Amino acid sequence: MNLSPQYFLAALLLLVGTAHAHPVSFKGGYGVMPAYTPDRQELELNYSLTQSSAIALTAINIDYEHHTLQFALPQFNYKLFRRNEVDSQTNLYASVGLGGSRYQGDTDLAGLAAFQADYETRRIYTLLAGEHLQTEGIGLNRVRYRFGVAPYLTDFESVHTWLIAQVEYTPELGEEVTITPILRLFYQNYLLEVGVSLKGELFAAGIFHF
Amino acid sequence: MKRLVIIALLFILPSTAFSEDVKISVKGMVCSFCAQGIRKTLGNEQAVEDVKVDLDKKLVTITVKDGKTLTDEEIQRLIQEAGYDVLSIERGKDA
Repeated sequence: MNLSPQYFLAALLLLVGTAHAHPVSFKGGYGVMPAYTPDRQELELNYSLTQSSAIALTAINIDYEHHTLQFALPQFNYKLFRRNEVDSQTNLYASVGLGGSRYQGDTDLAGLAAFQADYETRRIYTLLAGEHLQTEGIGLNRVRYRFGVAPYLTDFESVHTWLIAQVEYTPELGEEVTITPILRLFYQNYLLEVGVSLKGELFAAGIFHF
Repeated sequence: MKRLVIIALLFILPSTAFSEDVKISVKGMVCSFCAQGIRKTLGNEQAVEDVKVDLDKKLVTITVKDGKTLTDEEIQRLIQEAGYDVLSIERGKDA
């Protein structure tokens, strides 16, 4: 399989929306993480200063009370904990961001606080993530839980597949709980996720490391 | 004459370098991103000629360039910079 990195990146950027699955990668590594749902589109660009810390820029659009709420946030991601075992990896990350928001023509100061805990083997993947976005008069929370399995194992040079169930709780955004089955395809440093929620809404996300 | 040959060999041998294969067993390498990070971090090192990853065995094999060295401590540091831990390091000549 021979994918052109430029073509793949362009395709991911068109999808736009952040999975936030890899807030920190490896020292000197760059990450591009778009994610899309009809109610929220997000793009995070990050650079890992060390194996434990990264600086990032995040842009988020959220459909809030029939208008688009936009965030632009310089951000700091930190890996609080990692446990490497022979067959598994456990991580705990925290992120903070401070920037601006725009809503119905008004521009305000905005902030983000987030955490992510995940556990992964070659067969099983689980993640719990929480996020709070705050701007003038608006506070938005999101909690996500994911559980995934790899139906087969393959080597580094092949496409890896994951079947993931995601439950998302967004109390301030009307329909509070969204359940989405997701297909994840993983090829070396390219990751693409596509799903359709039980409400019929498209979910698409990607992670690209270089 | 024998002495001359020995002296000549002493001068020649160090410069007749052998590339070396180093097999590194890595803890926490469970996905393609992990492997890619390790490959990139090690591949950026001047002494490294090639990096191969075996996800099933959690094994990274590096070929060290002729005439270059990479100590166990340097390998441990590089693997840690990629975010992982070294379980063991084995060395062998691949001349």
